[in-house]
Amino acid sequence: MYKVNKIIALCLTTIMALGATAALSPTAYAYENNNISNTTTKKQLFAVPEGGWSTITAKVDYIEYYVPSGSNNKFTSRVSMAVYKTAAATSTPYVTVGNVKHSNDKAFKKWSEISIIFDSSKWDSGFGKENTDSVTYSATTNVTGKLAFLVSCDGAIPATSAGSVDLNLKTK
Amino acid sequence: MGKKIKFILSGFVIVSLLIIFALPVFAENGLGSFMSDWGKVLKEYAINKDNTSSDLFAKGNTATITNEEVKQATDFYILSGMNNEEAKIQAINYVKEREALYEMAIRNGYVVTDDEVLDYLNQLKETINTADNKEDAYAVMKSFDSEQDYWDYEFTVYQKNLPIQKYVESLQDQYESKTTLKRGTTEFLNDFNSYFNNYKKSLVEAENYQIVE
Repeated sequence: MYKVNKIIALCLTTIMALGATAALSPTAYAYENNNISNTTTKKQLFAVPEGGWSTITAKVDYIEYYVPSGSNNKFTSRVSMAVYKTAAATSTPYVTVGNVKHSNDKAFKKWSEISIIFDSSKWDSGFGKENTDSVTYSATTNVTGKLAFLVSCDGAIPATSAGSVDLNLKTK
Repeated sequence: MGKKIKFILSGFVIVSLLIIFALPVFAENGLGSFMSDWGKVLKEYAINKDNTSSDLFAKGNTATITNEEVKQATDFYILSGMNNEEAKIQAINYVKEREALYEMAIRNGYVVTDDEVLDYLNQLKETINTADNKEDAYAVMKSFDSEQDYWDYEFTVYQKNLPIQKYVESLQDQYESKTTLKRGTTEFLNDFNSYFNNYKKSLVEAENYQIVE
């Protein structure tokens, strides 16, 4: 019984020590001055019942930020941004940006909103999102990234049209 | 027995390949077929617009709806896959909202000149010619006797649509000034669409449309 209590006490002490170490350790921020990016512009027409067209021109950007580490790259975050201009009467088209997925099936699903600045003389609306999950690949990797998005217009034909922005994550 | 199995397997592979390559073509042709049929519908209504005065379907306090407008919208929804009954209900709702919005647009000063409509159509031509799905618009246009006939018809559509478009843009501007949500975000769009749908319903209620017997 004494030996069991000793083991439990040792485990608890270890856990508390580790917790204290983590809490007191300074947070290390990587200086991210490397990125890979790509952009695509999608211009879509939607037929509407009165005989005209609702239209959307959407520009979608996908950026991967990385820190080189020897022969590898640590991809520390990724950003998606969309700006768009619409022309519509009763139902306005819109853009929905999905998750990023790497070709090795790694999916990035937790996103937080970021502020973006855009030219309001060219675009009606814009928004951005960031994901901060880290992955490490060789600098010569064949893994690619894909950001999927949709342009939609409720009650119109077609109701939705898909697009994507693709990135090659190889840096050497 | 061996020959039979090889024959069956070959047949299976051929049929599978046909399905794999034929399905996308069918899907593309599906939308192309809609646009072509829609163009034919629009051409007929364009001709009728010139030749006859449309009977009234319903009268509101300020807005009026013609039978032609209801029939055209009904045809749109039937072509999109609805049955006749659903299509007519959807069409009536749509046209009621559009006419009510138009009346409100005019009341709020969003009147447009012929030159403004022509300018807009020139921009629309440019948009169509550079759109990813420009073939959809071309399929609609091809159903008219000439491209000019098509744009003459669109002139009549945008005489009404352009005031509505300007008015709806102003509604978005007003909404943006009253909310803390950032314009362009999904939250803003969902919020505005919810507000706009309720607003359209309130306009229809205010018109108190009466069906003309």
